[in-house]
Amino acid sequence: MGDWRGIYYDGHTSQQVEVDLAVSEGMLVLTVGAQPLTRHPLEQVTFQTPIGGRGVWRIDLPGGGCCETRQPPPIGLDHDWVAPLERRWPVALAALALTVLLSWAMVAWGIPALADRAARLLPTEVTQGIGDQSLALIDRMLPPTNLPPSRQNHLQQLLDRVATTLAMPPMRLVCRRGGNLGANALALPSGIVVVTDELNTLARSDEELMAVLAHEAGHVQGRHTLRSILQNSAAALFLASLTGDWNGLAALGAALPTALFNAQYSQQFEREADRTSLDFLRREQISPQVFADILGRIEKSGHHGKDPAPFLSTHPPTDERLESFRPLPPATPQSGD
Amino acid sequence: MDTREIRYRRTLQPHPFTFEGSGGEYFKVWIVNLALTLLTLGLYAPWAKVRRKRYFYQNTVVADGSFDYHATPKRIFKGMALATAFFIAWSLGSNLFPPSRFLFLIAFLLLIPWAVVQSRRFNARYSSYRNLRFDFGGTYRQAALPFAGPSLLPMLPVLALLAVFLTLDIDTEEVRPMLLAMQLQSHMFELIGATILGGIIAGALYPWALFAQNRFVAIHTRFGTTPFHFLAERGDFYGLFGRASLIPLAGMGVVLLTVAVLAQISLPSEGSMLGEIPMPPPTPAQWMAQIGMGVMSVALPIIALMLYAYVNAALNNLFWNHATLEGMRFECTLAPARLGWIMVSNALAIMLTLGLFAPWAKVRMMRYRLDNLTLLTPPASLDAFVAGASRPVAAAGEEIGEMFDMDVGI
Repeated sequence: MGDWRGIYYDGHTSQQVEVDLAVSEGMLVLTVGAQPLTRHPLEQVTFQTPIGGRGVWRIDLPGGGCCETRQPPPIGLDHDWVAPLERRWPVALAALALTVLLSWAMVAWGIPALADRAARLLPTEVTQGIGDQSLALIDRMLPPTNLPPSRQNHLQQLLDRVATTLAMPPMRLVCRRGGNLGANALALPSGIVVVTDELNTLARSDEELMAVLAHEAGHVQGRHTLRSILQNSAAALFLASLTGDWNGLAALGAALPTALFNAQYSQQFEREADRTSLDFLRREQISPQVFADILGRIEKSGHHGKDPAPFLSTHPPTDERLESFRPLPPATPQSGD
Repeated sequence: MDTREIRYRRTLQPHPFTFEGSGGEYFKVWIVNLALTLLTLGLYAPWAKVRRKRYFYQNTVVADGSFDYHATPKRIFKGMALATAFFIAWSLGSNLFPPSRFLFLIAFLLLIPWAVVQSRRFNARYSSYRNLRFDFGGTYRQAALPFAGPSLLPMLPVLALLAVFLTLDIDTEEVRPMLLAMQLQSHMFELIGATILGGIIAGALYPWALFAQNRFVAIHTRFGTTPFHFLAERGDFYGLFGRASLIPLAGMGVVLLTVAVLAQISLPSEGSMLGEIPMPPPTPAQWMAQIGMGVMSVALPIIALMLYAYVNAALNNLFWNHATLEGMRFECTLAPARLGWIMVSNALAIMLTLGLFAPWAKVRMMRYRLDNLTLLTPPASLDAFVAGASRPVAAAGEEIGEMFDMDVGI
């Protein structure tokens, strides 16, 4: 007999039978010693290529039996089109380049575009819901304001002016003491802008306040809260699909990229909001310098603790943000003071 | 193990498990399938998963036979779709409506036993050795207590306390979160007490839970029609964790000794300068505390890792050394130190290579585990197993379990 040997299992018991295999007249013939065991037409037999190429070929026979052999079948009997790709190093390297490229495109472009679409599809009740939740949270974290009602009304009027200029629906202004947040403003997705007393004190003019309010209005207009929730979830899902089969300690390694994505997305939203503010200042013919001024002062008033590395921070570096608000010719000397 | 069992094992014939795959080979399989998955926007993912799993099954060899994996991508596709939908619901729900996090947690805990049963059944029915399928016959009811119990029961004291607080201000709808927070602040002692009580319950239950989980998995798994049995007893698991608890105890001893020695030989007699401000020399107690913090920050991760590696190796050894199939036995000889080293070096290499080392890491771990597993059989007994009826099973439990990294594997 030939030198194509294998082990036959009938599928009913675990018994091993050593067999010789041969193909003749379109039939796969199995023989034990000189005794014929089975013959099956080739079209009823499935040849399973071993994954990776070196292992055991599995030949599924009709009726549940199978044959395992380490020698590949004579010619053209396997129909696995992926197996040849998996065996070649040049293909693997090309696949690696493709994977890197596609992952980058997905994270940098695909996921933000998808999140933007999805955010448009979600009903406004959802946005309202998140807004109510966040306001409840702010009520718990930030103490009530010390500003007199007249000042609060004034701030509301500034916000109204921002909304009118940017052609946005009116937004509600809420004042709170900043506590740990210090001088800061927050935009809630339902169209509420929270301003801290500290920010009010820090601002030297209405123009400066409006620049900050326009930045927050940019967050509302761009539906940034909703989009960031969607983007971060999608990025986590995407990453999980790449590293799904890692386990134990190695899975910890997947946590860093997640933090990185979230930070980068957040920085993009900040830049977008900065552009809205710049747009507002242009329309009102106010010098962009006012935003640079108040931003610089907020930065200085803030905590002097260690900031996270720039690529993990939620905001772009302040220097870089100030850069885009400098009137181009000539750069004013007092910026950043 | 009693002497009769030991004597019986000596009469058996050893068949070592071997892993025939290599890291480079698996890297090619992994990266080609990953690229195809990305190219098809994820639609190819089930095919990729089947091929990855088949690579490991086919290269696992014992007694001249290899394993194989027969799940169809179509079935896995449905399971993955369901798991993805669940993930999106969880992700959006917990972000948009934070209170739903609590509901998801409860649902999640109740889901674990179901996912375990489904995943076990799925993997067993689509795995074969010598062209005979495995099967798993455990039910949700049997899995509920061992798998959800250790997470739910320790939470009971804290939950009961929260329930009491909530009923106190039942008619003040608006300010309930505020009041609850205040209640919690004024009842800190009760809360800490309840948490400690929960911790004690968890510690006391954990060895029992692992015993019940391992036994559940073993006795409901069948090869063909033949069920596995489990010879280990509850005491074996309490003994294991008793020995494991010596690691943190000994670790603390070493830490204290190191701190004492370091403090003795290195107490600075002169003050230092912190910028412009002169600092007086630290008192021995302050210096001791400073050194203590430093030593602890190095020692804690090492102790945690040693504990993890020991428990992982010992649990695997305990399971396999007490699992039986007819007259057959297994022998598992994992060494905690070696296992811990492989875990750490793999994780570091994966991080340093931005994930590229992952396939080599997986093969390396698989090879070490299989090199330490041996099948012991009475002569010719491997030929006598008989096939059971084949029944299809859905992949949802397997996929949900995988997506949320539930501990469904043993």
